[in-house]
Amino acid sequence: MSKAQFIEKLGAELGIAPAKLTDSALLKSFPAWDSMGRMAVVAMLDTELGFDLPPGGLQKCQTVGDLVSLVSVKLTP
Amino acid sequence: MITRIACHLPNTMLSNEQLAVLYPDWTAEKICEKTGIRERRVVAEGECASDLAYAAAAGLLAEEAANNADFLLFCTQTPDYTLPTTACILQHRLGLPTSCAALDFNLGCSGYIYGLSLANSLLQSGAANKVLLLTADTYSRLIHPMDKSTRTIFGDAGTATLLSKDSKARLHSFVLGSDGSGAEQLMVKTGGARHARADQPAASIDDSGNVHDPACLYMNGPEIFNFTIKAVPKLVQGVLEKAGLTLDQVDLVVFHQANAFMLEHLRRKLGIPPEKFMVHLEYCGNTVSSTIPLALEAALQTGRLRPGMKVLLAGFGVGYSWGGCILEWH
Repeated sequence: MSKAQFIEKLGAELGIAPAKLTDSALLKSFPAWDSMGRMAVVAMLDTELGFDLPPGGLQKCQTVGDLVSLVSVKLTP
Repeated sequence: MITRIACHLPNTMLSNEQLAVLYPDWTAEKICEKTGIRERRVVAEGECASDLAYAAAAGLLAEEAANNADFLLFCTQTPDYTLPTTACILQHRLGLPTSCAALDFNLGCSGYIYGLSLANSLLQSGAANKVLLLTADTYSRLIHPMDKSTRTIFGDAGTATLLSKDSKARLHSFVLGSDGSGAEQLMVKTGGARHARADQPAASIDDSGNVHDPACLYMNGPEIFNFTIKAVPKLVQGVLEKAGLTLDQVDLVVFHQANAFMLEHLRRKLGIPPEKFMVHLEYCGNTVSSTIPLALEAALQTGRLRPGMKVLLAGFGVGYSWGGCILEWH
């Protein structure tokens, strides 16, 4: 999966236009980034990427770019 | 080993419509869509976990010759008192003989499986002939009214399960585990001996508008979900291997009813057909250690659980703690 495809899927899970999910966008600035929204993202990382999210991994992500870096091993260049 | 199951929900209902008034950015339908829950029952002022367990057990004792139970196990995280153990109070209130052993154990979502494991071991060792396993919790009393991440999920309930040497229903292939590194992900920080309320920060509001008070229940839903994604498939595999079964040979799967989203993800991940998978939380919510017996009772009433069936049970959550087993129903 490319970074663009990942951003598209992230937008679909959170109900946010992919164009707004820039690297510097603060995740907590999106109302959809609530408990259920983050659960949806955890599910997406598991199902779509097969990503083994480490404990506390999502909490360390402040920006969309942080999230992309976290899962970068599963993204194609 | 299991002879009978009885359940009790408190009378007071808390609907999504009532909650949506408090949380204006959520509608009743959105709460249902996100959690799979339409309403939950909560205790009234002065109503305790022992009252819920008593009501469940009294119904069961009225039907069965259980007045000679010689071991009472009570699973709760909301005991009536710091001491004495609530199980002793229940022994007396239920009119069980003073020769009946009684103890509480503090577990949540995995508690029913641990209780079955303890009861099974007591019966197999000959230490007991008839075990009354009770579960009850009043999480609603621990939840801050303005924490929608927990208040939309949890409900109160009590259940009673009678286990006897004579019963043909068998329990086996128990797998249990714990990982205290996840303790802080679902916690009430004060109220025990470690932290005084006065030493803790004042209540705060998170980015989603939920109020977090150290005296109230805190739940990091996404982190717990991530734990279940890793732990539950291994747990299910462990139980199946121990039982010498494949998933195809299991007739019904009953997981702890955490929330519908989590259940559906786990069901799909494990490849369990919907017709073999119990979902029972729409009208009671997540009732912690009572979810599995509530779902079993519903399965019995609706005919989804029938004699001869092999059922895989699994509980997982607060602790972290998890457990699973096979129930052969007769």
